[in-house]
Amino acid sequence: MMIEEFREIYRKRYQHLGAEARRRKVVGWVCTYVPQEIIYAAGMLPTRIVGTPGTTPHADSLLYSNTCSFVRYYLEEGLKGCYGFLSGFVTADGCMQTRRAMDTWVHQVKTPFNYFLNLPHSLSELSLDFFKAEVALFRDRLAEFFEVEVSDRELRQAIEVYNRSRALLKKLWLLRAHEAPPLTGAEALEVFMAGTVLDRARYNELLEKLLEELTPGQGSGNKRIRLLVLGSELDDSGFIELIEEAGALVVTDDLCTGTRTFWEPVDTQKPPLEALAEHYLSRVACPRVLPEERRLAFLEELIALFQVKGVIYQRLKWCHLHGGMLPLFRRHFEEKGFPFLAVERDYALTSAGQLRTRVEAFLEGIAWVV
Amino acid sequence: MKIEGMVEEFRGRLEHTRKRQPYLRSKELFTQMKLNYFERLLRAQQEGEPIVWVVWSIPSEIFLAMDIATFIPEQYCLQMSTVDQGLEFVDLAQAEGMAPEICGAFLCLYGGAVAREFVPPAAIIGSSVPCDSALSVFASARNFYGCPGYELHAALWTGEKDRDRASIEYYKRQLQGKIHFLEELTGKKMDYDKLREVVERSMKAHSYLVRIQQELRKAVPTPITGREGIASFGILFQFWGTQEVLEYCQTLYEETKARVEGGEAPLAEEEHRICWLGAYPYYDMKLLDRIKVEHHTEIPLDFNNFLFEYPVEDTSDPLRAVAQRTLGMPAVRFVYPYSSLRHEFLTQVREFQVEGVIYYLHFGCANTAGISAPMREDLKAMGVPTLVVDGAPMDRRVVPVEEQWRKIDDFLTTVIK
Repeated sequence: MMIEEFREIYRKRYQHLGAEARRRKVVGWVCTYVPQEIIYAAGMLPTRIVGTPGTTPHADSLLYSNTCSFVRYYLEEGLKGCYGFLSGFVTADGCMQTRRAMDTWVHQVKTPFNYFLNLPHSLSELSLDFFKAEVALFRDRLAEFFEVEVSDRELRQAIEVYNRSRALLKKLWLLRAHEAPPLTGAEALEVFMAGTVLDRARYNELLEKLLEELTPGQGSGNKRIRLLVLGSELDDSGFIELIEEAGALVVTDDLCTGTRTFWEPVDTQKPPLEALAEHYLSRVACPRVLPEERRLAFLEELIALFQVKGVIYQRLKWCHLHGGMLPLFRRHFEEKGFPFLAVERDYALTSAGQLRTRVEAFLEGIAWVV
Repeated sequence: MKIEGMVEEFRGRLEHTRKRQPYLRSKELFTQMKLNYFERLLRAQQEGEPIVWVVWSIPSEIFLAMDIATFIPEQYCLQMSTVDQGLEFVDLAQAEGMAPEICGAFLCLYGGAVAREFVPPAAIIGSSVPCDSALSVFASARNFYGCPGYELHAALWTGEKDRDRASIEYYKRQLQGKIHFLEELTGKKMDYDKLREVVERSMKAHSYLVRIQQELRKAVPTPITGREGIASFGILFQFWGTQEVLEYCQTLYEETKARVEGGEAPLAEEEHRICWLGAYPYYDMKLLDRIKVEHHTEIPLDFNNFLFEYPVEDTSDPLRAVAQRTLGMPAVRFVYPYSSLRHEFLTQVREFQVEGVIYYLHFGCANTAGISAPMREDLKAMGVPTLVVDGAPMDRRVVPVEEQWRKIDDFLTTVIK
């Protein structure tokens, strides 16, 4: 099964990335607002920085208790030397937690190239102009540091490769709109995460094979309650699995490890840097980028398209962005009488029993309505 | 607390200052300035004028030049906590779904909004600075009221001159956008001559503050108490551009200069000097007095003052000057990447001859907590000890004040002495 292959790639990511780093430079990025195409166009392999659930003694010795567990776990990986193969580390101003984590990363992990990308928090002509300049400056600084050329031609090629990924992922996601999706939500997340490790061209080949293997409408999801999951960074398929074991099927999401990153392609008709800046700033937003009405409209679109019956808003503890926006989302769904469950979680899947109970109770409530 | 109550509170404070501390002209001016602000707000409310909610980091000069009343709800909440009020709104916000780990001032803001405790906004102007709590809770409040909004993005200074200049220019252009937004909202037109006057006053006031910090507070013994420094500098944002703030800053400068020249100090027997970073327990600022009285220790360097930018001398482009001043304010710069302020911070620690740093952290502030890690490492390398005190600026229930004091007392007794 292809899905097993994706799972294994992500599971053995350090092995894979370490081998890649012997052939070319590997640059880690944290926030999905970092235009990976620029790193790829520079002949390097972009990879998403993530953590590994376990203990975090190195990070704990430095961080205050209110550091979100996603940051705590990936800093632990950096401090332990798991990311020693990186030539660069890039983050965008996506949230306070990751921005501050960069301070610690720069001073403790000491990756050769470190870059911080300013990110406007609202969408306007003005903010777009500013972001275009920031994206162009990132390209220049990357090229200057590594003494490479990142021309428009290479950027166009990178955009094509990444757009192909976007199209394939969207096609895969749309299979989940069927009544009996051929893959579960947990499996979809595993497929997605493999893409954060692999070279995109190779990833596209694997995605194509997977799509050939899957038959639309022939899956195990029939009759299960269809859910949408949104909220904080989520790369652990175990969390989705837990929800699905409780009797639901996660058919879609509003996550930075999901639809937000691939729903729309980058415009290939415009000059590449301009197109990248436009795409990243104006695509489906995380709560950092306002106005939130765009996101609410997108959620409604997904709910209709994927025949969603309930929404789970999962929030990493200490995620102030999702923590401060929760009343807004709750009110939006409650006013419509749409089932909505908010849960707080840790990056590592702790309190699984409690979570399972809450999800089961939520699903029972929906079953009455449906 | 309704605005009427706050007006009464400051009338009482003003009377008290006049009676008990008539020699401190700056303090009287400061209290008068705050009273005038709340009276103006009350008048706006009574006369049905549009009132705009703003985050504290949004500069006030434009509003002043357009004669638009503003309300800074999170600061108002902190003000409420000084008279032991507002906790019911913290609880209410959580009942509405706000995450409990959001900064208490912003929880109070949202709870107060839901309870209709505050003056309702005609519009809400949010910002990326100071934090994610501000950004997300302001967005939720705007959604709750269903009012229009405008966002100001403070692109963070990285220490690279070209990028920092671009950040100022970008902020300036957003201020222009803010003017258009306000013109449409209120029907008032910006009088650019008036704006120029306001900005000139504002930059003059700012230059006094910079001089107090850079020229005078380094003196041993330090001429201003920690509490005076914190109170005076920390809450000026809503007053920039007023005649009162200019008069206040000038008076404070002259009083401080006279103290330095006369070798006077509020704490003549100053034995130790520390730096205070992070938030403050607004509900019990006497904690800072105890440091002074019980340990003969002063705070010449603090969170609100530790990174003062140079005076903004060129006001030929008023909006650019406002942008530069705003983005260069210490509490704003504290949000920037550590690498952009590291050198300056460590230089100031040396120049102010501080022997230790008290870092007041609270779970609601990912910013101050996050930057504390590399700061502490650097201070350790310099041989300057750091104490982390857990607290909360708004909510005394989080960590009892006596527990906070015990840690500070131990630190000053065993490490600094």
